[in-house]
Amino acid sequence: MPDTIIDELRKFVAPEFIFGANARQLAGRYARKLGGHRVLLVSDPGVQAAGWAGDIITTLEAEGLEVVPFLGVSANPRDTEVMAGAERFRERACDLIVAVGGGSPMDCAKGIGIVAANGGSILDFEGVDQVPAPMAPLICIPTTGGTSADVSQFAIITDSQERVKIAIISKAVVPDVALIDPCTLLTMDPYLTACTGMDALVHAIEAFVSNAHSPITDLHALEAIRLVSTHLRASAEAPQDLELRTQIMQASLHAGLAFSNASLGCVHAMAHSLGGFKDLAHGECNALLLPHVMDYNFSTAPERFRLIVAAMGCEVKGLSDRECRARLIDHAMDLRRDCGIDLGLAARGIHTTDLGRLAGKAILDPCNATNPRVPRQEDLKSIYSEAM
Amino acid sequence: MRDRKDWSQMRESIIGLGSESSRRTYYPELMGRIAELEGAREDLRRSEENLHTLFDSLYDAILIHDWEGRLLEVNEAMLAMYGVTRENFRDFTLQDYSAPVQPKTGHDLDFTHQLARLQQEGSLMFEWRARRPLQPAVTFDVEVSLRRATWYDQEAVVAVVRDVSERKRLEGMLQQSQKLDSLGQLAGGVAHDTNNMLGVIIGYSDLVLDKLPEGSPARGDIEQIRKAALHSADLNRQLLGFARRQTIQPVVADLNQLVESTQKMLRRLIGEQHGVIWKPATALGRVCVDPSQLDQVLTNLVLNARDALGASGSITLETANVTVDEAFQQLHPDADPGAYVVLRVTDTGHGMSPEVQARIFEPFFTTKGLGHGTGLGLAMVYGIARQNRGFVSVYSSPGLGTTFSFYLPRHEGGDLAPAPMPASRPRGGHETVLLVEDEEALLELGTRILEEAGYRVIAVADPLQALARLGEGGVEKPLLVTDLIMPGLNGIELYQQVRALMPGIRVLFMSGYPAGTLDLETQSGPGRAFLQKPFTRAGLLQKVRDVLDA
Repeated sequence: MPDTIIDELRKFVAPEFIFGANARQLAGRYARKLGGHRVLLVSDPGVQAAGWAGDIITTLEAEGLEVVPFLGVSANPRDTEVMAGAERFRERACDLIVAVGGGSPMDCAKGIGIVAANGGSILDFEGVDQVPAPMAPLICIPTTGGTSADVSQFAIITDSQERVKIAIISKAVVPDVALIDPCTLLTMDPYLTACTGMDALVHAIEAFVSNAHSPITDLHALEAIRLVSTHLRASAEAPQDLELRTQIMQASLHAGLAFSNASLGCVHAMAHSLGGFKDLAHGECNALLLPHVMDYNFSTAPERFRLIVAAMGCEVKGLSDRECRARLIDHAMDLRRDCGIDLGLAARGIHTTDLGRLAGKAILDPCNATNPRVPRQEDLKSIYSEAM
Repeated sequence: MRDRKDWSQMRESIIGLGSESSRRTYYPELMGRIAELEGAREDLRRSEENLHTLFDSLYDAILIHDWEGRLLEVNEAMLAMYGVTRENFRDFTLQDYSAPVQPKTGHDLDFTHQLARLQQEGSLMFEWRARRPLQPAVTFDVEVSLRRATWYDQEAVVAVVRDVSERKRLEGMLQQSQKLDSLGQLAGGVAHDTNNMLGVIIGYSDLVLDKLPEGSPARGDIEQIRKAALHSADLNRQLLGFARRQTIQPVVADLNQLVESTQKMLRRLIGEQHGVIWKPATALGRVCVDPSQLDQVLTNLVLNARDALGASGSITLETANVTVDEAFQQLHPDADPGAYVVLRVTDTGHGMSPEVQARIFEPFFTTKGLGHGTGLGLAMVYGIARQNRGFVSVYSSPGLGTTFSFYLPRHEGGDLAPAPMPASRPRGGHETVLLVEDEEALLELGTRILEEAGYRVIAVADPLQALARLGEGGVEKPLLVTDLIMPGLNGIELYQQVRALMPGIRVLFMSGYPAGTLDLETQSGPGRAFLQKPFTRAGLLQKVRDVLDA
């Protein structure tokens, strides 16, 4: 691990964000201040059913804004949905986008903004810094605690033809404002709470061991690990507890700030491949892969994993690296199971014959660039098979 | 598979230190869009300018008005047509822009009716009489097409107004010209039939006079008959002149010389109390005209001018070269474009009203009162001009005077062959003449004249019979004297067939129509002799002798 403090220039990117109960109600005011007149509201059926989409539409209209709804976004949003949304945006001459929901509506909204401003296909913008023109103002209102798309420079879109998720990493997709309102988590069911919470944990761990980590990202990562380890079990059991929800939302924000600037690792590279192949929840994929990737990475950065184990609330003093490694894996496995994410990939319809293909796609993912250990395709394949 | 170097470059980008990683401002994008919009606005402005140029370049007036008849917008042509300005055109309604009484219906204005029709049909076209609101006396004929339209979100009507007064005037002139043409045909037909009868009267008078001793009391009576017939023949000649059926012998001439040669005669016609001014043009083009026709023209125009003058005033004769172009032709439908020589006769007399001008060339139309004119003079001038591919125009304003302009096409070629000089006195002969004439009275008269002059005459009324006679044989090669227009076989066809039987046979054609009308030369060969009917005894004998001696 290079000592980043003296070796490198570092940058920290984050949007303006407002955190706290009822922050979402500022949507109308911010949309107006950002110069919007006709707003494309991007959301999905679940969020709409929970009432959050309608709730935001009301605050927008109360500020005299015209709302063009685009509410059909699926989980793991597809390129075709992005293109349809961009068409709606242009056709109705919208000038601002508000995304309400988890990672899917927010990533879809980012894709819509990119295509509306730049034209072409969303798949043209895959990779790092491939978005030339800035897009229309974007306001993100997260309704899950984990995705962190509301503060990140990442957008993940499914290439429906290749059945793989592509990563778009650009300053252009950092929202203009994030309104982070823990109240929106009250409608999450326990399993969704578990998946998104595990997602936040993976964000934090991968950012912390990333070869691009920095002192600032480290602070956010460790705090996120601490908060998730402490509160996720309780939060999954008591969905109506706003205080617990607030802790999880806070954890997600910390994790987001960390990974957005330090990037991720093999868990995400492999989860993107997996989620694109089998339409599985992103947090669920992450949770299933995390212990095995940490096992694979441990030897490259044992002292950093030691800090992670400590942040999870375990006593590490006097533990050997091997014991520490076992504690780390156990803790991750326990947390996952306690929250209800059990069994492995095989139980979710993955066959051993799929693993070569999954590894082939995963090795191309840019998240591998910041993994502490430089992965090889066969490494990824064997990690998949361990996760079966 | 990526190696470590690839991954480390990607890492650089991800942590935000790549050259493309800095946050972009929205401004260049915005400025680009503004520039695009400004470009589009400029295109729009130019396009509007172009459309406006078209709008104002149209010859037709365009009026955009609302359903109450208030004007919203007009083009430049409208301002010129109605004599209003950009500042004041809105001060008037459609009512003010229309003549109070419409000529078509004779009724008062009926806007509501027209607008109701427009509501129903969407577009409409009709004739209308317009007027200038600031000069209510100035009205003019227009053709209006209406179309419903939206003008600045308002229900409106677009009216396209075409001034058709000029067209109407030209249509009138064309009608006049056609009327004169048909009158000419009628007059020509009548004159032709009368001619034969006059020929008989004159011929027999000549025969009788030849036989009556000097001092016979009947002689004076016959002389009167002959004089009356000759006078009628002269009227006939004028009618034929109007009908363009005069036999002519055109020569290439200098119009100035022709006019000068008649000065003495004109002076006598005009009388001492009126001045005559003669303004010959220098470098005047030559014309191809029968000098005797020009005499007729001059005589008639000068007499007309003299009669218009009353007690005092003067007559100006002048000549000029004129080029007729398409624009000029618009005003004179009779004229073909080209170079002309014009003879103008101007008097300072009482002038003519437009109504008189409109009928001035009609035969038998006269303003001179009963017994003072035949009404054929100007008709003949008109006919002569047309016969020579020229035309006549008149310009007159009551109280100021009148100018007649007689145009002849400028002759560009060389001289024509001079007409043969007539022999001094008619002589007879002893040759055989085959006389073919379907009009029995004329056949008999011709036979008598020729026989009394010593000729042997074979007289036939039917051309087929003439052929039969020749076919029988026993006839020495005669002189063929034949009428041109006959039932069965016309004169030229007869000649062609006779010539086949008797090559080298000589021929003299006769007709009440001029030589030109039957295209004598192209069908029977050049230089064929021709005798205009009605003929006198001397005329017939002279021609027969000329042909036999040629």
